[in-house]
Amino acid sequence: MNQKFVKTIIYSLIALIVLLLISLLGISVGAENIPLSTVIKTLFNIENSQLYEDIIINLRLPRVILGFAVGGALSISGLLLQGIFRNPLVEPFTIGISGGASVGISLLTLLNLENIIGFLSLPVSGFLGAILIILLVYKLGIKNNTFRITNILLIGVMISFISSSLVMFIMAISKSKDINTILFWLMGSLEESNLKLILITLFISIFGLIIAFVLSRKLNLFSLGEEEAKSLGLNVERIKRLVYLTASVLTGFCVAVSGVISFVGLIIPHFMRILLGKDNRLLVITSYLIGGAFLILSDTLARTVIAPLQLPVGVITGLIGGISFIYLLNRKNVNIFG
Amino acid sequence: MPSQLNMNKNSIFISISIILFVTIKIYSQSTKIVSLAPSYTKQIYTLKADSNLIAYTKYGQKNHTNSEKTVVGSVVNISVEKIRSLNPDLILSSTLTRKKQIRRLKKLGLKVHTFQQPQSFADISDQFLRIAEFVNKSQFAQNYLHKIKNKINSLERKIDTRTKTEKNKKIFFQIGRQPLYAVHPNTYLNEVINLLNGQNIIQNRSSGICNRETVISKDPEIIFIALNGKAAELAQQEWNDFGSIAAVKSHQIYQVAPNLFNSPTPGNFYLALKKATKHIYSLKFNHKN
Repeated sequence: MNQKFVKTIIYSLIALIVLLLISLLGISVGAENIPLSTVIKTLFNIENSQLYEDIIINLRLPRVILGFAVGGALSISGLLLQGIFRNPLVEPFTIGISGGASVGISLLTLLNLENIIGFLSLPVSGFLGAILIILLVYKLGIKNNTFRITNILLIGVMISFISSSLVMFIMAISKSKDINTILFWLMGSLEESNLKLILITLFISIFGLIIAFVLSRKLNLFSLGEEEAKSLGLNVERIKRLVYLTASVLTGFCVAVSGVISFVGLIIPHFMRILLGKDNRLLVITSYLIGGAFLILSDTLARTVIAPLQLPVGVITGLIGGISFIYLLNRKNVNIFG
Repeated sequence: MPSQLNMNKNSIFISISIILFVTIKIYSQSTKIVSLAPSYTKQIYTLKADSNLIAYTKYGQKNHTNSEKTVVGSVVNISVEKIRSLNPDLILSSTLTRKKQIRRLKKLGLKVHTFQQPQSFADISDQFLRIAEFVNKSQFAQNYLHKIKNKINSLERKIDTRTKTEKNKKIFFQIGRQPLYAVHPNTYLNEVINLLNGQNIIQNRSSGICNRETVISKDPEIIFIALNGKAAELAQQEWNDFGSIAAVKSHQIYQVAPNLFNSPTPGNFYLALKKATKHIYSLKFNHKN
């Protein structure tokens, strides 16, 4: 059997076990102390307590599922974008997607449309804002039928600045309760009560994983450089566009549902690259699983460290991710893209 | 025949006893309430219904000695899980609590009553009466409100007597420092300013965000600062740098307790008005005397 295939299977299984263990931790730990045995009995419907069912099945489990879906999706988006941009600082939010979603959410709040349209208007407006920016950046990035990577990056960064100014402007003219809504959304959270929305996010996230896996072999060729990849018969332009659109739509959806959760898409792909090397086929699967596990772990810590208060999950992703990444980078003494 | 009559009498007596027992049982079962804003907590204590209160948000316990109640987070950051574990009959929330969390609580089958931000004393009174209804203290609340209204009216008369011969004072009421945020129309604190026979320099706005230039050009005669500790000190220092402002010239910058002014309850409304009156007019009275 192909050695690389065996390696991919083994590491993916390890990542899956890590994910399952962290998921169990996420379901077992919370503001309320519930013994592990009760958690397991409730999960398998052996114990019939409405209280435990509400806490474990209706509160903690959806958060874990959403954490897995969003963490995984952001990680592979980061991996794909770092792959085509060949820039270690690129993450899903660098190219302006979160900015677009933020403006969408802020406008909706300012115009008080949430109360008119309904609660799904928040993720929908976030997604529309993100899609608008994705299309704008895409359109501006193409010249003479060439998808100009460097320009895309710069346009994305500029759009992020413009969006953040617009959000500040909207906040300046908003009422205090509306400012709260915008701020909470900007902080990011896995607190979502609509199970359908969570399942749709999971479906899109897994669909994104499949596309990313299909693209991963081509991304390996792309890592040799555009000219090399072209000479090996790769349709570079098509791959760039496909990768950009896949990563952007995935990020747009995640941002619309859970707000801005930074660092996951930046750190996890690098983390896996340091540990497992540069084969994107292996990286796509392991980044997805470990990204999901990382966000579940971060969320568990965010809701328990100062319980009953909750920290914004981005605080934990930044702290744990950043510190452990620097440690690993120095310890292994590697050059990520070298 | 007499035995049948006796039997009927007995059965009537038993029926009445059962009805009475059930009625007493129902009324003795108090509604378990979780308060998600300090002002609701305070109102429940005012209504002497703290036995109904099982949990509140951080800072809600100030001025109350009972530390046995559970804390379920802060106004803007609550633990849905903790609240669910308490299985309350009613949750009182404000518009400052995250909508997502409120939706979650409702989805779990919990009853949530969300109060809008009160914009006047009438709104505060309505809110108070509604809370009183929840804890079966409507009569007590009516009496309490009656007393507070009388006190406010008496204070209003005193203010009117003192200010009969003067024009309205221009007032700037600061409640935020960075960004500079002030009391604006359609808020209950604006009503306090009106009752003081004052004139809020921030007019025709739906938001309280303003800039220093506007404040300086409007030249307020009185500045109130309702900020916590160091922020209040800094805000006062900042205004003192602008010697052209009438309030700075006449040393009429007052730091007032934010807990009192920013927590809308009928009692706080009266105390805030009284405090502000004392600040403004005691100086003038002393001067006259």
